[in-house]
Amino acid sequence: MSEVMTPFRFRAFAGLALVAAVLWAWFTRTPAEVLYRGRLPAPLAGFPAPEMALPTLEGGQARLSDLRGTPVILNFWASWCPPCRLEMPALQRVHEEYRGRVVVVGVNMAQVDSIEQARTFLQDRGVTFPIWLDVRGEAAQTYQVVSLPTTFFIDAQGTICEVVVGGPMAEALLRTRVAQLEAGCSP
Amino acid sequence: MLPVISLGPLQLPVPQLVLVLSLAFSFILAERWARRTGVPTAVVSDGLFWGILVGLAAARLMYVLRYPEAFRASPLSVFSPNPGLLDPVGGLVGAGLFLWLWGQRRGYPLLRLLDGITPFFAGMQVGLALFHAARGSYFGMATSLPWAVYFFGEKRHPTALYWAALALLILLALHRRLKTSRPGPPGWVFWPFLAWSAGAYVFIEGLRGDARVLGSGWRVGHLVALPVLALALWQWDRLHPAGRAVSSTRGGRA
Repeated sequence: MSEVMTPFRFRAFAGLALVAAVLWAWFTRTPAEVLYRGRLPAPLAGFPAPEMALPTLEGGQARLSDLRGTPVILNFWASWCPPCRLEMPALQRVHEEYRGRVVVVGVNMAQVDSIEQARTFLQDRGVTFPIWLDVRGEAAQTYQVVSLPTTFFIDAQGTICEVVVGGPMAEALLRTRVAQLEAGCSP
Repeated sequence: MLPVISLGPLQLPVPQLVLVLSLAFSFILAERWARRTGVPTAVVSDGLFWGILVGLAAARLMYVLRYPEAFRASPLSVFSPNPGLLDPVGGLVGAGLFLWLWGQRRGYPLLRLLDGITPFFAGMQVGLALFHAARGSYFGMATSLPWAVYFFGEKRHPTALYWAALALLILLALHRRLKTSRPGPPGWVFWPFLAWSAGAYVFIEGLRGDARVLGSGWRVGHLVALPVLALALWQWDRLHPAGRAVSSTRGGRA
């Protein structure tokens, strides 16, 4: 372009382009509340986390919305999935160290897993954080989980800050994400 | 959103697959177009190879320095392949510093090296846009335009696809520039590419629904891209007189 333009024409064109860019930036200013307004729950960073109500491994019932007010690390896993098994100790350590500041929840894909095998695995590894059972696969469907493990980092206001598909996650990754969750990602 | 391709027992996350493929494609593209930029192919290959390695190491190092407590508690995480433990800005600065020093020793100024590597950047820009499209990130604001895409309860601008289209146009423009011009002064490929890319980014950022915004409503991406656009246009303009002088002699080193 510069080869066929005189310097004067180039400068005029460049100046116009720059002014147009500044004007575009000015007119597209948008407050954060407007950007986030009306977002329906969806399993994606920046959206409110969809609700789920599941039975727990201990025999109770749990709802995600009951955890509102505390950041949540929601980990979908199965006992036959090697990377899920590998990252369990890191999740357990984060659960122990950040107790009260962040809640770690393991959602077992009970529809495609053996609950007994899962229970044995958890006991062997000394996992003590809450385990919810997705018996009918509804939570996995709502959260569009197509690969294991999949982990959702949800801030205290219930907004998904990050989705990590695959694993195993490094322990340092979990620790840095806890700090980011505490800062929050909601507007 | 195309999260995963299942090939028997193998599950390939599409976004990451797109990134890896675009990395390979961009590397080959940079090698093939190197001569036209005025930089020998071997210099581009070596510079890219070591630049990427040093960039990755610098990105991890900067991340470790930002969160020392997290790594003190689990030192082995330093060697984790998790891409979430990288600092992109630290990686770019590290790779840039390395290329500057590496080029100095071989008699190539940084801008000349950047000219040679620019086709790689252009290819990666397309790949990055497709990565976001596959991941469902970089989505747009709500709109009623006929080409809007239905995205989690609302019709929105397909901003990742806009970016991919513009990145492809920039790649074609770059190809045309390299095909029709003789090598110019250092920066003759890099500055126009940077100006086109910053301009495209300014446009797309204004339509993003997941942009970071300040309290006043200004988008953070705009505050970064506008000075980059101004700098690139200014430097492109400065190429004019020298560009004519050098364009008559086809040569590598400046």
